[in-house]
Amino acid sequence: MNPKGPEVEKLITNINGFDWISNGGLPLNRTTLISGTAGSAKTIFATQFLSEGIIKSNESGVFVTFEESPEEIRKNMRSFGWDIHKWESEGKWCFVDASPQPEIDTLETGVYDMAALLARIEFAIQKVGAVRVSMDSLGAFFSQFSDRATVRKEIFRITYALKKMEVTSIITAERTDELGSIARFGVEEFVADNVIIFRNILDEEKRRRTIEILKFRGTTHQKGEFPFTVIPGEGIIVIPLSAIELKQRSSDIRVTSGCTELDEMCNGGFYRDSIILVSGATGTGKTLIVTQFMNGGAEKNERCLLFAFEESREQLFRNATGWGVDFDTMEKEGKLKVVCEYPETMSLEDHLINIKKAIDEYKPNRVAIDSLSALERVSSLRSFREFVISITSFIKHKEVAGLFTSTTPTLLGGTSITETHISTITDLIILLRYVELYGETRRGITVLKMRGSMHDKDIREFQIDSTGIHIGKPFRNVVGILTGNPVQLSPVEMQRTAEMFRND
Amino acid sequence: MRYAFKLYVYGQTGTSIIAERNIRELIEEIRDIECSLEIIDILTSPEKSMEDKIIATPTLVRTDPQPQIKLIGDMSDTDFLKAMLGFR
Repeated sequence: MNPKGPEVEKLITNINGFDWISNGGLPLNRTTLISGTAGSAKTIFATQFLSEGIIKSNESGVFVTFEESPEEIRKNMRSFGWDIHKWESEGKWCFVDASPQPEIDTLETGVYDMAALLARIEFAIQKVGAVRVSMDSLGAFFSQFSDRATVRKEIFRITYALKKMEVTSIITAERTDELGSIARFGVEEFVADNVIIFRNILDEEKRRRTIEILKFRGTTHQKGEFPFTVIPGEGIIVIPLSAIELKQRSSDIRVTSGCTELDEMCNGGFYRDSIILVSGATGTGKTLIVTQFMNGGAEKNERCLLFAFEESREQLFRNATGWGVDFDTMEKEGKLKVVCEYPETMSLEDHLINIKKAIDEYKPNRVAIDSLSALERVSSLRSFREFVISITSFIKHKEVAGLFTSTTPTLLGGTSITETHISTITDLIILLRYVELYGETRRGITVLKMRGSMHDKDIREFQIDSTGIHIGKPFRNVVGILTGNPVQLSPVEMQRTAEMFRND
Repeated sequence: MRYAFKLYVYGQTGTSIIAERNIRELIEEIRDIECSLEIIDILTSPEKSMEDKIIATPTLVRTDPQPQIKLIGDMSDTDFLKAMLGFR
């Protein structure tokens, strides 16, 4: 026997990401309160809970609706690919219609209870052999009756009966605001064992949906808010940020950056499973590094995947041709896939899911995102930080090489927000800098850090021509390139500096 | 004019017994009007309550004459009951 005693078991919901944040699903044979403001996707969750049960676990469900009519629910949920009508005819789904009937005058006179509702729920559960029950929503239930005390008592009775019948249920409730009490009508007082809160907050003019498990009595769950998104054809997808474990294997195998001189600077190339950040001002050659990175992979018969958020397909292909790289042929040979997307087309959460999906489908050996900074403008700072952490950890787990670019806000020196958030996650940071010398702009490249490997510490000058990037000699008599204040040193001064550390 | 009622009850519970007694007394009282009363016990036949979407018990549904009226409760206030059902 388990020395800790029996724990509360869980029912795997199969809702994407939710089973992770709930440490294995909803508490088995118990009722969980789902509370949220209007438009926080409660009804979608209630429907998806049953749908995923039918699709993935062959578990039937009963939907008790106090608000929308069954016809409306069938219609509204079709865009997620859930064919409720079909499931009803197959005996896997049963509605208990407790929605208001505005066409019939309903009056109260004297004492009553909700025995009929409970009898109907029990009847429906037995009819389809239900394992899951969704009730949507408590607020609509309360508004149909004037005697709140009776309704409260009856909800308690229903949840008790459901427990006895060994079904796992959820019940939705409305909140009036995002920071107030858990739900209206004080419902948390009687269905308080398990509470989940859905939020839909306006953050820096962007809508941000989050889910938080407030409590699961007698069992564990992940704490804090997790972003989620609602996608047509799929429903709710929870993005489990802390599902990031530092468990990935690490490889000693080196891969080419697509540029021989850069490989030399990195002591023989990038590690196969490293995350590389290329940072620089606009026009310093970040997209060029990406292009060469893709080309280097394709030449070794690797599969390369490029997400472009700054330039159109045509521009990218034309630029590549200008540097002697033929994206067209690479794509025809199946070595390259280019996904161009305008950052504003969707939310960052949706971008994240699309990127992950594309990686899962294409199974690349190397991935590049050009640029992370472009995605920064469509999200709040917090969402962006979460996105960066999530995508880097995802790529790391796939054990592919990932190269991201980041645009610095100033032309000379400086760091970007992107760098601040991912520099600790990256294995390799390459800086591209403008260097102003003798009244002309030149370009410098340096490898700032490289985990687990020796690397060149010099800041080298590089040129760009029709065959790509050419890295040359280090800037010897210049200081302050990284900080954006290049100053030339006179030979006398250099001599003195050199002598400072002479051991004699 | 003809009246038709359906009374949904839940087994032999207090409110159900009182409601049935109240409605039977009312029909007795207005003997000159034709009334039909069907008693449906949700405890034994829950499937019958699906069609009328019954949530609370006891519930009285006046199916004739139109429009339909639903009365929820033990119908103790007989004056109110009479007025609501259209008897003077």
